[in-house]
Amino acid sequence: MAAELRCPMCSKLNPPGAEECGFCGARLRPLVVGGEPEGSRISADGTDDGAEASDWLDRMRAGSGADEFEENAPEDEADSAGSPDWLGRLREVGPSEEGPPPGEVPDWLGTPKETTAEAPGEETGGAELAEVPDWLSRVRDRQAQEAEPAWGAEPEDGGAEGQEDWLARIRDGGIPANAGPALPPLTPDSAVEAPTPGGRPSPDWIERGERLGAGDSIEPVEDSGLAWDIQSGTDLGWLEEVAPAEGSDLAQAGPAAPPREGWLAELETPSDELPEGTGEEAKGVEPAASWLGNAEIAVERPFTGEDEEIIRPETGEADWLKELEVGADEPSSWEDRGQRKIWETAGEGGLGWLAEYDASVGKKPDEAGEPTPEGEQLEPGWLSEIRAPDQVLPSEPEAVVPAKWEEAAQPERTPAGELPHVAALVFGAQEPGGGAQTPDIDLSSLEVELPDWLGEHKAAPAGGEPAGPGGVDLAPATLPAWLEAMRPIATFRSVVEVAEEEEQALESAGPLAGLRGVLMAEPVVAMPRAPTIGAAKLEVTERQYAQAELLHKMVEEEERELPSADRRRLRLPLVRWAVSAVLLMAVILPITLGIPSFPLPSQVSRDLKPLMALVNGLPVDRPSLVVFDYDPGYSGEMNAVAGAFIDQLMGRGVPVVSLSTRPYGPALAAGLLDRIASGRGVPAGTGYLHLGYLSGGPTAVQIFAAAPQDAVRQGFDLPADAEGQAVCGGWDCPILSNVHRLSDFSMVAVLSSGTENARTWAEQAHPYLGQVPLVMVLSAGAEPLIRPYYEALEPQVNGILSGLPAAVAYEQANQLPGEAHARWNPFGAALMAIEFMLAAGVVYALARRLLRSGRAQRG
Amino acid sequence: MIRMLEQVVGPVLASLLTIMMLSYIIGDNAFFRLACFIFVGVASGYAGAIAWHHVLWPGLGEPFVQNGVSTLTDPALIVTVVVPLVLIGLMLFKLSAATAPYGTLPLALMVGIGAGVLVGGAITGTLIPQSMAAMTTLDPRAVAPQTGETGLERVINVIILLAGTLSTLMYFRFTATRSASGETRRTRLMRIVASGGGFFIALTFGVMYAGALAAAVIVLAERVQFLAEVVVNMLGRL
Repeated sequence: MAAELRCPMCSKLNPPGAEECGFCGARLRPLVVGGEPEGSRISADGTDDGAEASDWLDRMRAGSGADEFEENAPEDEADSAGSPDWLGRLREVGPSEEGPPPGEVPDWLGTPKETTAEAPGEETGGAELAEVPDWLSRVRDRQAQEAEPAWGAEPEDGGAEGQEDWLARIRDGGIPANAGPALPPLTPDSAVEAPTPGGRPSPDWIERGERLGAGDSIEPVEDSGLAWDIQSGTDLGWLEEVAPAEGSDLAQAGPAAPPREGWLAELETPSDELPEGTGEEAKGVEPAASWLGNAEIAVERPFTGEDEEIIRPETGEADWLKELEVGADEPSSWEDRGQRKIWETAGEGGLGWLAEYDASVGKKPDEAGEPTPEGEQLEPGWLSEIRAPDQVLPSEPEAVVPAKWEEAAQPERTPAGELPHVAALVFGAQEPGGGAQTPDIDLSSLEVELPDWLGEHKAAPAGGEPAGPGGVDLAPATLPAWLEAMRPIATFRSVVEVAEEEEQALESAGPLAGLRGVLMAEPVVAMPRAPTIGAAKLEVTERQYAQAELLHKMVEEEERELPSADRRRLRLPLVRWAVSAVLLMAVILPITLGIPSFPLPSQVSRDLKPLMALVNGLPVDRPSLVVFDYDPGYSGEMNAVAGAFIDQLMGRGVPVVSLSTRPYGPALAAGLLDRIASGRGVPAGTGYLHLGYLSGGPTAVQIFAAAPQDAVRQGFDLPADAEGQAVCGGWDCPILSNVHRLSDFSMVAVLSSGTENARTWAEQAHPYLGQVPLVMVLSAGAEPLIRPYYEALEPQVNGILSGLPAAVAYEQANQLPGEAHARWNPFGAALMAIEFMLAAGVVYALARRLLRSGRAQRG
Repeated sequence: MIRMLEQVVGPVLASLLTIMMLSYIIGDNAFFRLACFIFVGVASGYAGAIAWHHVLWPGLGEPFVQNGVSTLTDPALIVTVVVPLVLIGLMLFKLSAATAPYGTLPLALMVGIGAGVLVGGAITGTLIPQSMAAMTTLDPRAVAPQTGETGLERVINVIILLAGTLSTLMYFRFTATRSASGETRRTRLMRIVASGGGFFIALTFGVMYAGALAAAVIVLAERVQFLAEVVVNMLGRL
């Protein structure tokens, strides 16, 4: 019991066998060849199948099981611009109805070849013959009657169903006399007007074929469309329907009949009969039927009785069928004539593409002396492109086997009274006896005209399997051949593997839900693909390349694992120890043992005299400002140098006010001043005072120089009474009572271990000093950069005291030995040790160089 | 007691720290590092304490405490106390990257004012006076104001000063011409003069290094002398 069908769109159940949903009208069954019921197809444009039933090609592809064709071709299709109707129909068929996939040859096309190799008897007289249309059967019956003496053998194959097959009847020789209509006079007009027994119009070529019978010289065309139909068992009953009505000419029947019928008629009409009225016929008659008329002629070839060799009793098939199967090596006479007929009639009948096919190989009918058909004007544009002989066409197939009818493209003069030669549309056929006749037509140029499914007949293996018992076994869900042909060359697939319908994915969503064999867009759209366009190549210069190589090497060097460094052997710092020991001994010995003893400076340096004179000339009622701007690390030197200077100040009774731009300065000042003051008995607050820390660097120095009381608010380590309370708060101390600006000090002395602080005071304070002298007490290392301020014509520094030697000289000149004297011997011993070590180092270096140079000279 | 601590403990600790620093003679060791850390920490703490006790509190805290709310209304205090407090508050925004832009104003004031002071002082206090000092007369009759030099001695000294100044300036002149081979090179005269400038520069740095070495030797002698005194004092006390 057949299951109910569920509509893929509305999901409602429909009775079994329903083609369309009764609720929403959606198609219940996919448009898959083989799985589609007859007459249920809806074309792409929405028209019903009945409207396209006359398309013989669609019929053939849709399934050969159709017994009857109805001539319902729409008239508008006859007006299709340019392209043949059959090609236009191809575009209208659904994706599931196109020809077999590449590599597969439809049985109706591949059968001739296969039957020869495999089972000719079965193919010719088998199941396919059972489906020979009635009209053909009647034609054959009639001709069989006429050519009965020529039939000398019965076809041995009797396994075919349907003994009404025309071939079977021909073989049987039992074709009734009334199987075909009476032959009208052989005129062009009669080609369309011959009535059919059934009352339906019969094509003129049928009529002509009937009229010619076996005795005429019309030779069959091996590979015409009709031959394919015969082999594939396609019902060509529609050809009976396209037979012209009696008494009507082509001009009259033109508008109603499809154009292809016209060119079918033209194929049938001899060339010498065409000049008049051919053009009208071509317009009025559908071309397909016309050239099929020649094909029918080819079919009639076995009945002409031209020779008995065409019947092979042992195989039971006609010779021309044998040629169809194996591809005759040389065309027979009827082939030649038939081919010429095709060229002549094709152009006139609207098959300009077929006429131009001859031109594509450089042999136009007109060039060959053949009359140019008027129908050439109907040549489609796409055929004109093929006309160019030198044009390289895409998708050239491999191992192109020239068709029989392609090889027979040489136009020949048809003798008067004979029908023109029509080449058989058999691929790979060689004309018998022709020997080494090479094909004149490049099949590749035809590939673009003919559907691939037609051209791939060449590629079908000789031993391929015949068509299935069902007749035409078109693969479902295959890309249309014309679509395959439109693919780019790089992506051309010679073989399309089509899975079985049951194995194909079922569409689950979208308007195609429930259908199988739907082409999925994901592999094309979503899957990543390699870019077809090559990446741009960088143009680098040699320098850039070298730099890139260098960078690459650097990166590699960074990535390279360095070997573990060998552990250095612990080396004792002997040199350091030796130098340290020498220096320590040089310092310790004079301190502890008093040796060595160095004489004190006998002369006072030139710089000390002005300084001593300056200090000695300071007023005692005005305090002197001493700036302690040195680090604690230099206290050992600075205390010795500055001690002599401050000692002289205090010795003279000059009040000393300390200040520092460093946080540690006040403590250093307090330590030094307290020590000197205690030694001199100078009281704090009146003899000396600490203003403390002046924060702000150079800006603070300038502020202090401009307004000292605004810069420093309170003192440091202010003098206290017995209770510990501060006697004064800084600026209110008696020592600073008369000081309101920088020039109120008697002297400004800067004790600096570096050049920056000394220069800052020289730069910032000098404009505010007025006549107040500026003295620099410096470390030995800072003297070279401060001395220019002292030795200028307008000196910014009025006195300078730098280093321990100057301090010792200063103390000696003042006869006040202090720390400088105490450190003179150690200092001298250390300097002497250093000088010795330097000398030893120089001697060692020279000796080493000399030794090396001597070794180098000897070596 | 306190005096005893000052006379005994202080010198002993100072002696130990001195020995720890001198231990670097035998190599980097924990005592040396410990002494360094102690000095750094003590110096920082001492600097912070000095800044608070001698700058912040006397300048900003004490006036605000003494005057109270009136500090905000007194124009003089606004300029000297409130505005600095606001600038300090803005400066604190520099602690966070999110609020750092708000601390740009006090920083800009500091940098701008400092640069102005330094440049101005350098021009008026160093550049012009020193340039004038270099352009001294070669008259042998002239007498140096500070040293009293005169005659040939002063002329020689002036010539040396002039040569040293010019050659040193030429040494830092990097303008050169490109030869036909593409090599950039100074002229021969420039190279000779520049080499003389290099000599003067090297001589100056040598003197500075010698002075620093002499200062270090004096410091070493002072420390050794201090240790000796401490030892003697300790032995004397024993």
